[in-house]
Amino acid sequence: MTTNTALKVSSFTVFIMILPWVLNLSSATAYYVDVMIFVAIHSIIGCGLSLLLGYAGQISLGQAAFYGIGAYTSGILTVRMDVNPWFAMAAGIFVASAIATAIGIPTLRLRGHYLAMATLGFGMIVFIVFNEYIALTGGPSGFGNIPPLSLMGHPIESSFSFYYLSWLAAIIVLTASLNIVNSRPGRALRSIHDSDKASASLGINVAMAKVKIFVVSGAFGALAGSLYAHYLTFVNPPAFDVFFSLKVLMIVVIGGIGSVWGAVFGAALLNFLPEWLVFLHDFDVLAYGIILLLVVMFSPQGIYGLLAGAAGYFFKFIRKESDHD
Amino acid sequence: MTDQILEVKNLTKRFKGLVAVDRLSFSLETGIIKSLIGPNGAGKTTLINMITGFLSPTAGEIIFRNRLQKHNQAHRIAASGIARTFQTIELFKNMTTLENIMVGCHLRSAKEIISSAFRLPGVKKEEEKIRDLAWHHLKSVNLEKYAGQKAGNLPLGEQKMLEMARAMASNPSLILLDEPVAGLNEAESQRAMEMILSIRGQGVTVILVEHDMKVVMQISDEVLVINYGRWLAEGSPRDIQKDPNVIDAYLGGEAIGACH
Ligand SMILES: Nc1ncnc2c1ncn2[C@@H]1O[C@H](COP(=O)(O)OP(=O)(O)O)[C@@H](O)[C@H]1O
Ligand SMILES: [Mg+2]
Repeated sequence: MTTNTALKVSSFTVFIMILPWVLNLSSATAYYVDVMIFVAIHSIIGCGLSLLLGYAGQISLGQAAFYGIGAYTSGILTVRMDVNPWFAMAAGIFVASAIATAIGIPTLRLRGHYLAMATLGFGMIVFIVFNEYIALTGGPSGFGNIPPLSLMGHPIESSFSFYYLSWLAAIIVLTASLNIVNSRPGRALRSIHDSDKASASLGINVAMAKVKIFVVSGAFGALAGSLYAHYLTFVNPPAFDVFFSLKVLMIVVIGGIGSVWGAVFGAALLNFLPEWLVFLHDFDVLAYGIILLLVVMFSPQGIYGLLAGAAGYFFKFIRKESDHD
Repeated sequence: MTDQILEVKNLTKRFKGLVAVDRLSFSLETGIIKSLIGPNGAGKTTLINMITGFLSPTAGEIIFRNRLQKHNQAHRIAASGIARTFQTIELFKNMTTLENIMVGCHLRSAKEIISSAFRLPGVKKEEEKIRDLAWHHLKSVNLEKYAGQKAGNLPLGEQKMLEMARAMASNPSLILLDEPVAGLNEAESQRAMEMILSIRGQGVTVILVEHDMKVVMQISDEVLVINYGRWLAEGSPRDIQKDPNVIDAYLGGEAIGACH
């Protein structure tokens, strides 16, 4: 990571650390701490898809399934088998990674958008399993009493403490993603995006590079899902349907493809918007649609691209080293 | 026996009805520049695509460093020491000039996703190594001043130089250049020729596809002529110029004679 990226990440970290104290100053804004927890969780799953979409040029329509696998693995292992929540979280990430490998290897060898189709089908299958395998998943009504994560014997239950945990995870994921993008495997992925022929001619295994980043996106999805389960202490299928997969896709596209920061901006926008658009009731989906359309038409680089472009225009800061984030 | 780096035996490529390369056999001595010439559509690019694993042969054998190429995966062939450039430039146009060459160093580095993500020990050092190597190759083609610019914004001549430098960054023992001089002006082709000679100077064997006979005659050690995918003639540049079959194939010898 170059100084420029490190500076951005540390300023962002400071902002995140201060934010709840500011929000808690007024009872009108205290509730936003909870919204910010979802921003963190959605940033994590968004970062994964951003890597896949922005750097490998592949679409997944099944991120909700990885999210669900993370959540249900955490829930089932802790509630039904009394497994330690941290271990359950790791297990969920492992299962999601294994499944992503199994889906990725056959589909990513082919050119074209086979992954989109395969993940769409996979998402549906997982959704059906959550609904039908009642003995394990509790079926359509799900199950509760999922224990919280705890640190050194202290359960992380309050919004305030979970805020810090979720953002710690999100910032680690963001940093890891930026590190990937700015090193050998990330350059290989970006090169594939420009010319997979040239990449292959330089020794890059194009199919495997895509599989690996798809596995990362699955792992991030499961991590996010596990956090979700331990925070809400309750899971049921609707949170993991295809609409959630589409929401993750919107987070990435609206936030800005081609930068993992975009996922954070997208996650923030899509979580705060409903708060500001409550007067639209169920028509908030319409608002998403319009925003998505506007972004695609007028700022294909998303909100982050727009902001970065504006900042660049006003400050005209000179970057010593070209850094990619 | 001279040291042979590559041997091609009865190589054939058929596209539906069309035979693009037809039972072609030749061998390549280590350390030379061998030019591959022939009219448009003769099958030169198809041959390069087979040698580099971008196309699998319909029939025939390719033996590189005494080993039969069995697999046809381009990235594995690259790893065995064969690099190439493309007739239609294939740069990573949204990446910087330096980054293009850094990708060229892929085979000379090893760090994978997890170690990179968490900057495990060794990553920083390897990144520095890649950067140093890339700078070295960038300087070899005098492109330092473009280091931070997107490759897609470079002038055509520089793009061709960059593509060669990027291929060389993979540290190959054989490099196949598909029309690296095409479309360049006088000064640019001079630089490209010097680059090709310097590649040979580093001990790397070169297969050069080129239409400009002046270039071919000046820098090749050997010339292989193909026509309709078939072997037509092979020999020193001087012999090739006099070969009646070649003169026939090139419309009564105008193309070759006029350029000399
Ligand atoms: N992928 C392909 N599918 C079908 N025909 C092809 C393909 N690639 C090349 N050809 C045909 O094979 C012949 C040889 O082409 P090519 O190797 O590009 O010739 P050259 O590089 O010598 O100009 C041409 O007739 C061309 O149209
Ligand atoms: Mg050609």
